Amino acid sequence: MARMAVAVKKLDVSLGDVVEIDGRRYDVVSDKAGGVTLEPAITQSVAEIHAEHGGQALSSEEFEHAFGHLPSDGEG
Amino acid sequence: MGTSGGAARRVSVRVGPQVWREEVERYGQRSPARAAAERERHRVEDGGVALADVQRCADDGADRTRLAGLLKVYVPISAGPASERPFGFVLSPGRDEHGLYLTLVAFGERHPRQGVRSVYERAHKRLHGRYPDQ
Repeated sequence: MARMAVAVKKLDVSLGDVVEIDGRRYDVVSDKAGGVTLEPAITQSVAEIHAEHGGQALSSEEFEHAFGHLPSDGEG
Repeated sequence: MGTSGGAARRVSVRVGPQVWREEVERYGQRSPARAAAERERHRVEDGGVALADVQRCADDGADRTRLAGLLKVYVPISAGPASERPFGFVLSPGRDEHGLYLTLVAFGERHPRQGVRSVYERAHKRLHGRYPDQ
């Protein structure tokens, strides 16, 4: 079988880095087998999302007061 | 809009541009997931979400996610069985000078194929800075 002519591009990245390929961002994460793999990036924390809206997350006491009565199916 | 009273209490929902890009626009333009998210975004941003459609996330999930303080809505939003609603919005409740609101923190498949992160794992990373298995 003929070998494919592939130009290998070496990336200098580590776990936790974010890379951009063709305009899309990816997290560099463990593949659980000693290597790394790419996943669609998550670059904004919950706190930062609230700050973007000019608010802040409820405290656990406020959460229980407002939403503690709601059901949970335990799925996630 | 904050919460409104009565049996059909509703709470306003906000969707930030960056989280939308990262959670929804990672799917292809014609994917069922993206179509479902876009359809429901218009509904919840216009009229909020009924608390009857909202559940609390698990404090300690079987998938090792820890999502105390977060809420979820199955997508498509309907009265149908959960098995017919394969996607989910995970929402974080907050407060500002206008009152209570929910903001989107993750969207995705509830039970994806192996190797793909679930919506709950993505929410866990936004909350704790890493995936539950890292």
